[in-house]
Amino acid sequence: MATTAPAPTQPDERIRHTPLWRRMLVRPSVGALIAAIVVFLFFSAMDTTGTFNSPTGVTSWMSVSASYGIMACAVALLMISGEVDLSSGVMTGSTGLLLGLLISEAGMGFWPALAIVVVFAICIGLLNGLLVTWTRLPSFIVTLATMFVLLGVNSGVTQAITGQVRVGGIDRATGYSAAQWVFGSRLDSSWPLTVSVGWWLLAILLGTWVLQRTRQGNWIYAVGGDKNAARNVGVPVRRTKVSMFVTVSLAAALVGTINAVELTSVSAGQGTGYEFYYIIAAVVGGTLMTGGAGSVVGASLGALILGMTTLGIQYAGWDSTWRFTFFGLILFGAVMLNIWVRDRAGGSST
Amino acid sequence: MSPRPAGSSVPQRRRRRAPLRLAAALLCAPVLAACTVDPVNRARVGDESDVHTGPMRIAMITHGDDGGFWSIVRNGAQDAAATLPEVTLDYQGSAGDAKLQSEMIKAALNQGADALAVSAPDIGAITSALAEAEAAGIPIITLNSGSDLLETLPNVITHVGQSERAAGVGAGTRLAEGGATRALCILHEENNIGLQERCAGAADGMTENGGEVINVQVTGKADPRSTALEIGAAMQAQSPDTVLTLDPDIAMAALKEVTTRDVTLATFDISPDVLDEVAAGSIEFAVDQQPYLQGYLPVSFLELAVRNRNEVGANSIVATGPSFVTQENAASIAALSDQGTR
Repeated sequence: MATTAPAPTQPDERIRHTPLWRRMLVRPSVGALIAAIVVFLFFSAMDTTGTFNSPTGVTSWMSVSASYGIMACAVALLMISGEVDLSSGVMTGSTGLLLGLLISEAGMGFWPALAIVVVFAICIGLLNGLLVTWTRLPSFIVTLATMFVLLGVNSGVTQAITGQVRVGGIDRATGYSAAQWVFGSRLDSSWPLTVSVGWWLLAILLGTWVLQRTRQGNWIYAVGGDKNAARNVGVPVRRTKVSMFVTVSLAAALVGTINAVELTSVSAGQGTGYEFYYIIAAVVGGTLMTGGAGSVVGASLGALILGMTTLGIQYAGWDSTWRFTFFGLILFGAVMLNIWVRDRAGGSST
Repeated sequence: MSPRPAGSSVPQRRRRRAPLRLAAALLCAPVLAACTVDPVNRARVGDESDVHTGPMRIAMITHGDDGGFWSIVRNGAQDAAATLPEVTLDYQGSAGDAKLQSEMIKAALNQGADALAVSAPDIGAITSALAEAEAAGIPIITLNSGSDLLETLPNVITHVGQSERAAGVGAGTRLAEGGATRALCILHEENNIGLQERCAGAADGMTENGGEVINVQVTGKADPRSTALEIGAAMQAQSPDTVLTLDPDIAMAALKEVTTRDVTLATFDISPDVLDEVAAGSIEFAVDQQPYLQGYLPVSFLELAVRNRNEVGANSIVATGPSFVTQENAASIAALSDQGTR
């Protein structure tokens, strides 16, 4: 957290002066920004269609990035507080399925159904958080268990109720037209900028404000940096961590709702395995796996890299069977670049 | 996996006699080759006295889950068993776990199955279980996948299913006849041979008529939103006049991208949503492999094999597809889909 003190008229020679460019470069997100620019230029050069860097292309990969990005913001907050949530990917499916089942099978209106989904998400977040803080088991284990339980529930409940592995007919709910405006609208068919990008920007602003400007933000950094030290200075460690698990679950509910509204149907396997993309986005963006450092802007840039790569490969007309290989190489390169930039610019960062 | 119930005399008799019969078959085969009408069926020849009367059990052990497709297969099998007197059906799905499927087959044999229907996407993993079935001398039919066993196992009467390649050729030819020249084939799973075969078949069908097919790998069902945008991007990159999806959910994801671009959409397999869209004309056609038949026919064929020594198929597969759902017949099939038979 770089602080900008009011410039003294007489510079104090005891304080080492750090130039602005250097202060910028040691920010955790700058490596990710450079990596994102490199990936953008790379796929612009590889593009066979002239669309990748056109408004259509940009809005397309922004829309792909948005669902990664919303989750990556929340996951970054949780990781800064020193925990991980492996159930976050499956939760985007669970919340979407629950919304769909309440609408198509229970005949509820969209907004009451959404209220229940939000309550459900809060409960799962509390469950994850309280289990982690009470049992003192690693969150890796606890949320891995939640993830598998939800995975089974997703397909078991859906099949038991609908006889299929999917729920459809979400567009037949009362209140759907308003819901579509809020969660699923699209500017134009040739300009597929979806409203999810707006939600993502909101997540970035909110997350940055909390981290940089609020007491809660200081607590998040403190509990992730050193839990015992934080507790000794009076930070409510348990409450801070639990609230971050709830944040991730709520973000998953938002993404699940956006998916369900945009596509009007949800399949049981949705979101499976995506927790790793969210974690990757956060790590590419400079969030430490061990907690205590990171930013939502960085995590969002990581999400942007994922989105650009996913569509960039299609625009490049490459054999898309190799997409995961490209993914791995680009991600590794981005993290290395991130570390290199910070080391060159700042010496000791974090 | 429960032990064989006491007092089921028929299976006990079968089991005791099984090694004897196998030995007889092994002796008979080389020495008295002339005594076998069809070498493939030698294990059952010379058993005229053993024509089955009274109650019989048919085991159908698939690799399926309880999803839309396999629940229709099971409905077919159950409906067939219900029409047949004194036939008990033991249906189980291993949800893709080949080792579990192997255990399920062995358990079904222990419980005295008189006939066996299996789907075999992973033949190697269930070889030992099938060898036990073979040793028990009971007739076997493969369904959905595993047609290779028809060549290698003497007791396999036929395979009931769709050749993915043939279905692909059918779809490709139909698209080309409708005026398609450049189609995208959307692969939504990595490493699924069946899907690759569909695209390869479609390519055959299209190139024969002067068109071409480009395979596009997408994220798939884990993120249908991204998949839709990927299909949109691929359309921009490749400018096709046709998109062929291999799954109804992927077809629905592609629909929005396709309709804004005046591109024809066709898909494999059906779902209620897809049937609606086919009826409305926004999806050109859906290739149906008729899962109900894949459940119904093996049960009825096996009953005939056990009771009447009938053999269907003349050592080749019984094709349940491709059958095409178009705007003309979509509405009537939608009604049947609600009943869980299409």
